[in-house]
Amino acid sequence: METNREPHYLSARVRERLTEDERTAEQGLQVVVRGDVIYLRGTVASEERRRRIEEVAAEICPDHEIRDETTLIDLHRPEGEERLP
Amino acid sequence: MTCVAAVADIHLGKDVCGRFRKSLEGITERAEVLLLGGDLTRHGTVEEGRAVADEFRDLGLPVVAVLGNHDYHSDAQDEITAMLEDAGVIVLEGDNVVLDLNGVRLGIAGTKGFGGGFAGRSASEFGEPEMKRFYHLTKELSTGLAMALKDLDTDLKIALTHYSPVKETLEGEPSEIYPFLGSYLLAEAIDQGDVDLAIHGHAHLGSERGVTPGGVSVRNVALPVLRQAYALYRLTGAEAM
Repeated sequence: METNREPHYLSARVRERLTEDERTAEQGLQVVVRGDVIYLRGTVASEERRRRIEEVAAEICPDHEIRDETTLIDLHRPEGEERLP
Repeated sequence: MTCVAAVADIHLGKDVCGRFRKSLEGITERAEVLLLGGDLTRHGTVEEGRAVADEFRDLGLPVVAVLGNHDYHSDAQDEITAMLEDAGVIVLEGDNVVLDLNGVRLGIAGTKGFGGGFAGRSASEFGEPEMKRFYHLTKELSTGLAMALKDLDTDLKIALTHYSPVKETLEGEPSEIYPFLGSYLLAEAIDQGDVDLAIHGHAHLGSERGVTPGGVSVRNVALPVLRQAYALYRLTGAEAM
């Protein structure tokens, strides 16, 4: 089905592609469309994965500016522990 | 007292191989067992499964895992399970394991679980065949968890799933997708099983802490929720023993 360019449909389509495209396979990312700008938010594991996300989003929305606001995952060791009864 | 380390949704791939293992340095001094709540890979390929097996082999403490939906994506879940088991990781699906941790017997029952939603707003086994199959699987896996818990007679019991048993640990996710993130049937199984702690992943935007209707602590250990390599939970119930 051809992608409707309305922001409502466009954000849904980008989100689905980020999950289904083999290059990204990312669930749980947020996609917000405001005017000609697409904002990508959420957490990703590496700079390479971030580049892939931008690449896939740009393919679907070549006329939009992609603003990648994702953050890189933090793998520091835990400082404390939780005590449970 | 028994200290449990737990994490889920590590989504290992070539680009991050070895990074996670580095963050596990020193874990044997802090925990007696490591639990992995599924989504260990990105695409569920054999290659990624091998990377996960290498990441968790010979850590010096028992590693117990369930698979997640990503680990099923390439239909290689059986091969991934076999590779993890070859590396010494215990993989649960509708079964359990009993570990003797410094004299405390810890029972862990696990399943991937599935979606369907939460009490009053859940799916049902009705209508199209696809819908019936979807909810039938949720029922089947939840029943598997209940049976695996029932078989345990240990000092401490943990339920390990990928999908969430409760809504509380999904807070932060859009409520419209809750039915894809978990099922109350998992909580019902946990509440029947005299469980001390329930661990799950899957909900990257969710919250860490919740509780079942029966009062069992639930922890969402998805890596993006924890914002650290793993969480540590000390079960003080063992003090009385």
